[in-house]
Amino acid sequence: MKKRKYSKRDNKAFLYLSPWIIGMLLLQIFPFLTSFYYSLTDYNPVSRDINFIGLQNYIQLFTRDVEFFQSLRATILYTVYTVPAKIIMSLLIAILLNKGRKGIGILRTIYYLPSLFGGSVAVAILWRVIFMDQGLVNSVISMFGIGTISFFGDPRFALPTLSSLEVWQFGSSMVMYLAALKQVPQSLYEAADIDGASKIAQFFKITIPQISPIIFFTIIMQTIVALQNFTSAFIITNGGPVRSTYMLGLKLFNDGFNFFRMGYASATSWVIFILVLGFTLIMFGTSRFWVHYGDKA
Amino acid sequence: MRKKNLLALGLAAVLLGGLFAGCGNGAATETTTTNDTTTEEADSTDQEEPADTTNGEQINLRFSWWGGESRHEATLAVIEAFEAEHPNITITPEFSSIDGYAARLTTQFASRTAPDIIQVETGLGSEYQRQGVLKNLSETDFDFSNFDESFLEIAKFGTDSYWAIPTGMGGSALIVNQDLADAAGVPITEPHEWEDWFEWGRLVREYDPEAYLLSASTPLAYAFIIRAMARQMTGEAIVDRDFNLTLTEAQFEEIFDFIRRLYEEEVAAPASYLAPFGEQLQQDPNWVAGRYVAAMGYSSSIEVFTAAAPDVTFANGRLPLLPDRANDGWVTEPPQFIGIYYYSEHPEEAAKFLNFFFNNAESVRTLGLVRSIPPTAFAQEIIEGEGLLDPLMMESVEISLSYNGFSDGGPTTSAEVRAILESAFEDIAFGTLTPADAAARTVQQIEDFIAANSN
Repeated sequence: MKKRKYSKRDNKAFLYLSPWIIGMLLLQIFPFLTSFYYSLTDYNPVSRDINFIGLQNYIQLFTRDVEFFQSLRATILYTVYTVPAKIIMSLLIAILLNKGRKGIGILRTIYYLPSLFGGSVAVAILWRVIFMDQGLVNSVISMFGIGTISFFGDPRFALPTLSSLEVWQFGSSMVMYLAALKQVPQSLYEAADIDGASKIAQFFKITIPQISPIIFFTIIMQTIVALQNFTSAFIITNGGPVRSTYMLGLKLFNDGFNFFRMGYASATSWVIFILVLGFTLIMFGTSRFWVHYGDKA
Repeated sequence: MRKKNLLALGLAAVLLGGLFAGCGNGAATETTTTNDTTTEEADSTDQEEPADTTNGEQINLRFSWWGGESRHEATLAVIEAFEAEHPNITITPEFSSIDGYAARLTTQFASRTAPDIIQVETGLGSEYQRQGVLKNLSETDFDFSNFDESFLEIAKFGTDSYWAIPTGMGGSALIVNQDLADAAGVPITEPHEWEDWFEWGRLVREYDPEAYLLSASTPLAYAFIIRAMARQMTGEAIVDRDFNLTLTEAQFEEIFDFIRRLYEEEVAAPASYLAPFGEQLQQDPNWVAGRYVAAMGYSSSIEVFTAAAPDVTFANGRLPLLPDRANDGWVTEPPQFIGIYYYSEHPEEAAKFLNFFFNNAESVRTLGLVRSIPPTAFAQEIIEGEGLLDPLMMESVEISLSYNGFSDGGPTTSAEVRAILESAFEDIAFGTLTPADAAARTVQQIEDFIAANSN
């Protein structure tokens, strides 16, 4: 088969794409590669001294740094708390909103609103105020005779409370599920009805397989977001108490910007990268067993 | 199918790239190519000074500081007055709260875009000097004659030159609720030893089961207890200027055991209760309600802390001592420094502004107490004459001055060592580590810090 020659029209496409390509090269690929180089050095951003030290940063991380393992634990727990909860929550709300009721548009907007705020500082501060000892949540539970809970002072509650902020922002996943649910052919449900399948069976045998590519996508995206958490931990708890919310992103920030150990911080960022990459590869590896694409024979 | 998976994998990889954008991006633009040369520049003592460019030319300086509303307003007013006197110099203010201030400076140092005039955290002064980002003020026209020479030693960071200007006088303080202290029979305003706290703690709990002798939140108490006790034990900073660890593991354990007892014997309020307030003692309802005999803090925070509990009569406590001590440990320190950036293109104009800032009577009047008690006798007289001097704050400084301690500014006050000590304090206060385990971990972490920084 003869190879098709590129036409002038194809070259034009590259011209139009160039702002994105240049941006990606400069703002993502270059820092990405530079950070790997830094991770092999003792780069100090204040004095700008830099010496190649091989794998020393990685060795210290895994053999001597107690806080690294505390951070790793906090980050993985945060991911375990937030990702499944957020996916279940967004899917359930999407199913409820996938009905043609009156005023459904307003409801969809209301549920999506928290996601518009994203990882903003204002929302993090609001969360701190809601859960403080004299905050709204403690006022409500005190009505039921329960004593004050120190949500951000007690290491047992700090991480779950912080996770609830992330779960609350389920809007973007919800919108995707809503779109996916709209694409499921009604004929499948009609056929299932004729066959006498229950609503629960229809949900697990039709709905879930049909929207599985979106579930797959949201799991990967939410995991990446959770593993990179920084803002809420920085603003609300600053990693405490007793480092129960000291995420890897926060440790990376402190090492690099407050302790002037940018090489060490870069090594941490590469550990996060390997963690995310490993998780993503496992997900892709297992996807053929549970993700169903419409074009598959 | 396979193609689709590959495409999705590629897209996920691109998203992951964003993870690294925050790590060294700003610095990356220049450092990889110029590091050899810039390091030489920073180390060099005979670097060529920028030429004086004031000949009618318009000069712009940048001045960064952190603080609250009153500090911002007063500093902006001084800038305005200076600009009126020096029409060829404009000053761009860059002010914020303290949150993230040091981290922002780090990125500015990395990209050589730091402001010309910089307010510096007390503990980071010697660190910045060591990293070569502060201008040697002895080589500028800044007039130090109004300053007390012995107090200025602190601004030399162990060298023969002045690298920064102390913005005020202060030190550790025990802020005492005199009403509760009297009622519970606790003479904490008299000279005393650390060990006395346990008996007094028991007395306070007996008097009022809802009250405690101390409010000791981790960020305020770790420096007060660990660093002061270490200075009293050894007569040295925990990590000296030559990067030697001066405290043994057994001595760390002794200090940590003292902290364990404070919480276990209910001398201090529970750590989990105090944790959400951090350094913001004034937000603690128990403080406002007068349920602590004393709170650990700094002279500069007295005004804010006492204002939160207007119904309480406050006094200054004396600072605790060890019976057998190398020295008293307590010292008068500035709440922060102001320095000139080493790579400023206009260090002489920056020094001119700082002269106006510290040595001009009108500036002193405008600034008042926004950076604690002014560091010069000349300024203190003016403030006193205006009736602005807070007697409680002044007395706190006088108490600090009465002890023969020394500043441990240097590696001990670097952000990393502070975090190590704070972390150990928190583990003991919450009971998640024994004093022995915390001591072993602290020694290991400080040794790692020394290994990474001492070359």
